[in-house]
Amino acid sequence: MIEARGILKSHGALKVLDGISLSVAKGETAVLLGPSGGGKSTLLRCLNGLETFDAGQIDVAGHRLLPGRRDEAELTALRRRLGMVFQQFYLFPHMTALQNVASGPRYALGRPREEAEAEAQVLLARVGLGTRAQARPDQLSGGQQQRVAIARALAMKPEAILFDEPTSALDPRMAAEVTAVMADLARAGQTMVVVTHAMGFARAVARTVHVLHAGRIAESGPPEQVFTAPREDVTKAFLHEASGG
Amino acid sequence: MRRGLLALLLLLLVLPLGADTLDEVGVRGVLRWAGDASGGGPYIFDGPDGALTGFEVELARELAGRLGVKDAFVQGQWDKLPQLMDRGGADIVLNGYEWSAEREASWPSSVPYYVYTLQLMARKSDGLSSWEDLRRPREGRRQRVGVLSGSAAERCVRERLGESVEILGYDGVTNVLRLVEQGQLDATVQDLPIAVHYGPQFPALVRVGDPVAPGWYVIFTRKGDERLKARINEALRGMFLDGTLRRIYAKYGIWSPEQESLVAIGAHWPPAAASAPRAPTEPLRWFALLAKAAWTTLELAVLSMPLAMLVGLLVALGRLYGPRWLGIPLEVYVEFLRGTPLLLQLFVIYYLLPGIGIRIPAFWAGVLGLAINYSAYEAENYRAGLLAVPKGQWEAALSLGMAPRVALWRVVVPQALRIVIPPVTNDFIALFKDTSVCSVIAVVDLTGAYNRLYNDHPREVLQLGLMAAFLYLAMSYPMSLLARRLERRLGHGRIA
Ligand SMILES: Nc1ncnc2c1ncn2[C@@H]1O[C@H](COP(=O)(O)OP(=O)(O)OP(=O)(O)O)[C@@H](O)[C@H]1O
Ligand SMILES: [Mg+2]
Repeated sequence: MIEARGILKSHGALKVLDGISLSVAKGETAVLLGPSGGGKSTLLRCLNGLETFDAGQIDVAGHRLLPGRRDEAELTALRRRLGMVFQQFYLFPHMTALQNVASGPRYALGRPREEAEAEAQVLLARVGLGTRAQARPDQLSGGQQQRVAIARALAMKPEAILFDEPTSALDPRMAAEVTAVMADLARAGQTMVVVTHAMGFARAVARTVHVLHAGRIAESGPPEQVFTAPREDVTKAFLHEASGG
Repeated sequence: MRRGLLALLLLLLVLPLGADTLDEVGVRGVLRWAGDASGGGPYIFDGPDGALTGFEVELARELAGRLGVKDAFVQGQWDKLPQLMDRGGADIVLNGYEWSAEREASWPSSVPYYVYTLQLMARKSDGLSSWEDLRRPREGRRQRVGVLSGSAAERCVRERLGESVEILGYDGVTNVLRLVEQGQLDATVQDLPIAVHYGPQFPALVRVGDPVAPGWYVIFTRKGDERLKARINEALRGMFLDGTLRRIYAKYGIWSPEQESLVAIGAHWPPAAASAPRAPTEPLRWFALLAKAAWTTLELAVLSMPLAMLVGLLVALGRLYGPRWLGIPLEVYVEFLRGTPLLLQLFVIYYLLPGIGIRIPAFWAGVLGLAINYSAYEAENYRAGLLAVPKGQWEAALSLGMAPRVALWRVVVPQALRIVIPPVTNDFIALFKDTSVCSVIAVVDLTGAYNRLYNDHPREVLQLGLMAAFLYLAMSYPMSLLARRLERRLGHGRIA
């Protein structure tokens, strides 16, 4: 589903991604973690073409991305098959929750409004917000907004969804609502790449955990192994930090 | 020196009692007379050598000489000259001002120095043969007659032809003659001296019928300046009797036999107030006039603003997201319009475009001018608004698979429109006031109508001012209410 090989990206002298290779199988949930500045967001944004890279190649959802200039039309086609959920939600403030969820099918695919909104209503119910369809984003809590954002990504029936720290801006109770929705998705076989520090979620849902540090993948493995028997010092230090030590 | 100071001191002591500008003029050694050189010849204009010339310039010099002082010209806007004098900016007003009972009540007049008549002028090619021909509609509309705004000619046309013609008031003379020549106006009525002076410069125009409606040019003084007025009258009589006036008038081609009547008329000056007492319904008529002008203001603003917003949005989009080659022309468009006055832009649209065959009626020229001018400011508003939409909104829209163009229209532009509601509302309110600039192209908005009424009825300033203020408020208050509601309803999207 997602196959990145030897991705290099620099900002000036800083190597943000330093030869990363990553592979995510269909139906799998991969978790990316690691210290701040390790390159997690940059990697996700390279995967859906929001950023370019300097070397390597990415095969994702039937498209191949290479370094250098891109064809906008192809990127648009790719993004229709690859969802993205942001830490700051980025709901469209001038639309209701329902309109937000229906916006992809309507404006990206040109589907009729009634049809798109009927499906959007079902998706809102699925993330537990069936009754808030007419609410504006600023009338919703952070956790509710993030769930609407997830429903909005789902509305495009993407082959995979990228999550960039979806719960970092939320307090624990609201984070739990969101994590529960994501766990449901994972169980239903949705392919996902999730940047998160929520260890509980990683343990319960991830098939593979990748630890990013200084633009490289320091360690990869099933969560039980990475969390209980980390092989690399980088991982140990990060887990020590994260557990509040 | 010492003596001058003493005289000044004495004067200051005497001023509150028998205050008369004559004393001031004597101390100063200068008679300051107010006129408007942009009114043109043969009154006051720039001569071939660049020096001020005209029959009134010579008259003023002669007059001052006979008062034993020098003369100094004070430039003002023609229809505001008496106010300039009242504020102390000049001692007298001397510039083709017609006598009227209304004016006499506010500013005592000298004996008349010239008998003027009014001359109808039209294009030679139109074959107009009398005033009555103006009543015939032309191309399905009323004929358009241009006049100097607030002048006796304007009143005369209104009395003779009333609503059967469209009367347009302007500030100048040559521009009106040019408009007749170019076909935007069908005729003009001017004081005879103007027809004489400018006739040769506008060979396409002819005088139609005999001059009509004689009246008197007088010098106006401030109330209370009885002694100054008496000295001026004495000087004028002297200039008439010794042939000085005739010599000056003949030099400018404006001497006529009627001028002989001046001495006799001056012997019983001013004429008994012939003006009937004010009809009780007169204020109602004023209010109706002002309300009609307020409606014009509203129309100008409401028609031009949406146009300005649309063009502004397109310009902003073009600058930010359009092809590279479009950037510089659009920047020039914005900077040019912001860097030149609205007045000039209206002037170009109305007076110069006809020269290349584009003829736009005054009202629509006003709408167009305001729209174009404001489009530059709106373009800057929208540019700021578009840039203020968080980058994450773009990324979220693109990540859903919207093409960049779709993301722009569906996600970014709607938010930018909300962000700019406050500045755009402010501009709309400012535009309401800017409609008054349209008076240069004879579109009478509320300010313009107020000015005219005030000139005709200077003593009713309070009543007229209250009426105009009320009408402005009646327009702007609902607008700001509407804006506030709009902001509340659409303002949700401010935090992204
Ligand atoms: N536009 C840019 N210019 C220069 N440096 C950048 C730019 N964008 C990112 N970086 C740098 O790239 C590095 C990786 O950033 P990235 O956001 O991918 O890290 P991250 O792992 O997501 O960190 P965090 O956990 O804080 O979100 C950081 O050192 C960051 O400062
Ligand atoms: Mg990050």
